[in-house]
Amino acid sequence: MIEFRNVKKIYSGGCNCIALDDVSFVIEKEEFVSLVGHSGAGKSTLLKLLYAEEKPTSGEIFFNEEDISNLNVKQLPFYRRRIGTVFQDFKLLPRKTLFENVAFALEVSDHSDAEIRELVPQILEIVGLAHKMDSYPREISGGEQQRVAIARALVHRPPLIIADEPTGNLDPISSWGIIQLLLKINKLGTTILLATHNKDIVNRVKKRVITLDQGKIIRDHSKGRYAI
Amino acid sequence: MLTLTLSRTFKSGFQHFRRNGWLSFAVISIISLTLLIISTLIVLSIAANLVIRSVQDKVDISVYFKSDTTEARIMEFRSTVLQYQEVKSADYISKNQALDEFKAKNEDNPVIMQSIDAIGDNPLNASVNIKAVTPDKYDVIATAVQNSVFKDDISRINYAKNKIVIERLNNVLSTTRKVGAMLATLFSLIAVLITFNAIRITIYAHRQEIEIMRLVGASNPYIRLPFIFEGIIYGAISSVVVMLFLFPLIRFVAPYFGGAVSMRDVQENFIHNLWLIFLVQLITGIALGTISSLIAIRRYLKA
Repeated sequence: MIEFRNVKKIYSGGCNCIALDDVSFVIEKEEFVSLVGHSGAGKSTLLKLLYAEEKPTSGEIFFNEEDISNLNVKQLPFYRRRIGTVFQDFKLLPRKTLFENVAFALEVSDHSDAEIRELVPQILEIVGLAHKMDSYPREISGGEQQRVAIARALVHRPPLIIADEPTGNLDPISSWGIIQLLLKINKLGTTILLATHNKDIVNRVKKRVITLDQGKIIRDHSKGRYAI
Repeated sequence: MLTLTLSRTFKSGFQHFRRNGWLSFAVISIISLTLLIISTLIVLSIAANLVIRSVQDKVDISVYFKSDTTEARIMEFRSTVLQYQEVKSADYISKNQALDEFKAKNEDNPVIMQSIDAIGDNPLNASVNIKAVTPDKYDVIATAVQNSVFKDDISRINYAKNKIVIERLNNVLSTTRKVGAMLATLFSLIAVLITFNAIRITIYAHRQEIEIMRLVGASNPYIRLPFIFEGIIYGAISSVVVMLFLFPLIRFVAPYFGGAVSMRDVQENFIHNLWLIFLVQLITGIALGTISSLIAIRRYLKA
């Protein structure tokens, strides 16, 4: 489903840092992959390349056999609608209610109002927040905000969800709740790529682990543990 | 599809506006002040024009004829003068009229009244009062009259005496216009820049929203439209606010123009142009809001 082929990313400008150095790997459909490594190892860069926020300096990236390393302004939104993204800082729209935040992902892809009224409460029910639909993000806890973000990433049923440190701002209990939710989503058939440096989580999940260090993949185990 | 996008983005823009009370209030205040400054300058220039026109009406030159000139000859002169392009009007004032006016003016001065009676005969000359189309034309008219075929019938032209006054008026008029135009441009520019910055700041405050919208897969127009609608709403509300303030302002300012302009003139002028002024405000306000939003949002949409 995802393939990185000799991907290199160098940030030009002040430092000329090599963020990713000749990275190649394949992720199959319905896999759950944890991406681990120190800060600055290249996890976020790898994810940014995957959701096309950055372009690789060289190499190719494929999503469902389609090269996504050189999308233009017009194609980018359509590609983004096919994946779901979850971030450490939740990235909810502060001026919209929870319902509207989730609905927004459907609105931009021209779903009808009837569909939105049907799908949004369903998905909020799945993440356990249907009763807070009309609250604003600032009125709920971090764990709840992250669940809304997951609901938004999930609502248009993308085949892939990219999660960049989704538990970075949460306490251990909420964190484990979020991971369980991601595992459940994975079980229902969605591929999940999870970047984290939370050792406990990686060890408890017992799924494939890709370890990055200084822009290179140093380990790729199918029943991995967090070990650097 | 297009109507769905438009209705959704409009709703979203309106929600942003409504849910961001203080920021919206601040931006509307700033746009209102901008519009108020611009419209005050317009009203002031209208008032100044009225003052200038009324002063202009009071300036003229008088051509006095020798006592033995016949009325027919004077009327001939008048019709000749009226053919000049520069001349707006030429009024004949007969000897008797001149005496009547002189008497009326000096009613309260018994010495003058007595001396007129003592002379018995009418000592005043018949004259023609000439008004020019614009005050800077008096010089040309005076020279032309002096060199005309009627020069032997003319006893004197009071241009020299009026010359200083007329020249001063001309100077005042041109400086007023120049300074007025400069001030108007300067203030409008400042006001527009302030508005632009205010909107830029509101968009800067919401730059993360733009990033989020892009992540969720919103196309650039879909991200831009709510901000543009927000700008339109700011502009429209501001123009209404300004109209509410402008009327009392004019009532307050008009008396300071003294006798030169009657309060009724200004108010009538204003009411007559009410819809036009409102329309100009509305268009200016909306254009300010929209264009500022468009420019401000551009940098966050670069892919």
